[in-house]
Amino acid sequence: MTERQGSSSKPSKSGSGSTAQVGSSRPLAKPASKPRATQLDRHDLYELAVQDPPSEVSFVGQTFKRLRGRPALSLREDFAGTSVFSLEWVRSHKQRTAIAVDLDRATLDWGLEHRIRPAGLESRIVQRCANVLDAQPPLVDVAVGFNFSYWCFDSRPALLEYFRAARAGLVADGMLVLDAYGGTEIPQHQVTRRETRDSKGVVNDGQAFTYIWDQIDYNPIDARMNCAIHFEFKDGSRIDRAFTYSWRVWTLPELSELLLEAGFAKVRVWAERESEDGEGTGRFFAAKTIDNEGVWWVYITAES
Amino acid sequence: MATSKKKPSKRTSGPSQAQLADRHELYEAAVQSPEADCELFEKIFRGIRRRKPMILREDFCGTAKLSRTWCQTNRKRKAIGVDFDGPTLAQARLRNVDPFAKQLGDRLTLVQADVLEVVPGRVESADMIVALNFSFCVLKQREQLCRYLANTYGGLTEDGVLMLEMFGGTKAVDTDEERRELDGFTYHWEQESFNPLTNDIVCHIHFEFPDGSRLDKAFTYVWRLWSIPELRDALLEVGFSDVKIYWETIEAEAESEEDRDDDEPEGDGMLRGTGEYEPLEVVEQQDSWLVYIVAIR
Repeated sequence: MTERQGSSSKPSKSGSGSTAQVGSSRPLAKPASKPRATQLDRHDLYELAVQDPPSEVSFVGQTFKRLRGRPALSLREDFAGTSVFSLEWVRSHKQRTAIAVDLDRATLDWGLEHRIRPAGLESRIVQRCANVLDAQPPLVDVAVGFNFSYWCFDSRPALLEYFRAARAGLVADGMLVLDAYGGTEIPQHQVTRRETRDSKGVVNDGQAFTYIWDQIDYNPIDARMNCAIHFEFKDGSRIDRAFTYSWRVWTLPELSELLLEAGFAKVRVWAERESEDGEGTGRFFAAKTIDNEGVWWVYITAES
Repeated sequence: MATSKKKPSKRTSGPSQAQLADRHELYEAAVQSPEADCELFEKIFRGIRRRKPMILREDFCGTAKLSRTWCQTNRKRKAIGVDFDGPTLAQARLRNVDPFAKQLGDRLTLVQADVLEVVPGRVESADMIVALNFSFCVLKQREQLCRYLANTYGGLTEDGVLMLEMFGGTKAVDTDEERRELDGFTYHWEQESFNPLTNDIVCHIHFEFPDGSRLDKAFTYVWRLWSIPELRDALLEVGFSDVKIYWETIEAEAESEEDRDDDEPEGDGMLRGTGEYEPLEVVEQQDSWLVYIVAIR
């Protein structure tokens, strides 16, 4: 199994507003210079640390073709946030279109201004500031809900309603693609730190910064977890709780059962194939069993 | 005996301790404590209903030791033991019914049936139905689980209570093993596999003896490890009015490494259960935990 370290996470819609709370914990920086944390945009940092739109688009496109025998052209991205998956989708093929749905107008606007317009692709992306439960035409080939954002639905009835709505927005041979993570290290308090940097040299001037995935607490009685993303910089400054989430940690059989109950015909779980030295290969297979030790991360497909 | 000369170290060439052992007897000694269970169940029931529970139904009863003990705690108490397995119920009669026939009279009834088939009305309504030792985890489909829970709802008196014993924790969702030294043998619990795609868990109980012999896979379980919220959701869905989670309190945490005197024996870092349970809604995750999920009709 791939270990995208704690990988993940975070549905931008729960990020509160666009101003991150900034704390400079250590006075290491020269007093004259502004702390790094105040000069950076949390969406840039998030995208760099957590998202990987090209590989996600490649998985969704290839898997749809494999299961449905035709290419997928129209997409709906639920919990779209800055809509970078939608952007990568339309970029990958000139006939592809996308609808990006999110509750948070400010985050959608950030994506439009900083990513979509500069790419000149706004004609093929519709951003919809709406609830993912409100299915609206047009129907699409494929819908995605990534970075576990759908875990904000914390009861069976609520998640079932979302899955039904997601299905209602698909064409007859459509497909919903989700991701999920788990493993022995997940249902508990845990902090994972990962150093990251922009190889293009733009964000944070290409200097390394630390992405911190903080599983603040987990309650086994209701499977609720509170978590946060923090960013830390070499000058000691820090963006604390750049994004916070409160969600229910769903297990794979629960998700499969709910997807089938919502009317999907077939549910598959896709795990990444590893090379001999344990590295991810970017190739996925429909798994029947996986090792639960540590952390795992999978895609789930649900065929209409 | 021809072989005895070749292995002089062996005291005899007779049957090993494992060959002589009775797996049901070992199981009762290793994992059951029916007196404490009866006391706890009464306490929980009284706390909720303010009356004394009289009729107990023990699903997946095995040798029905709990049912027998329940009847012995009060001469008006009755118990119904339900199990699917004929040979095991034969053991129940042999071990826990026949030797106590005079004392029990007709107060202990054994029913050989699949719990899914014990529909309301088939046996006497019970004040408490209990499913202990995670045995209901043999029901791996949610639809099956709900059908079973609905049956128990219908099998309770109007103010009846269902109690499910469940385990979990970060070590429960992994391979693991535990050994406990008991009187005359070692109990060996093995979690052979856990698959997060289905939450299927395969476990074995083995017994080991001082002469080196071993009763391998004396009991094997192929279960779905249900989570507390899954069980609570299902219980409320089939009609129970409330569900409480009784969490086993643990002994005050052992001193940390730094605080401990060097000459003190090193602990194994395990939390020890106290046998006391309290209803809780928020807890910290543990390596392993035991709960009673108490569903109120």
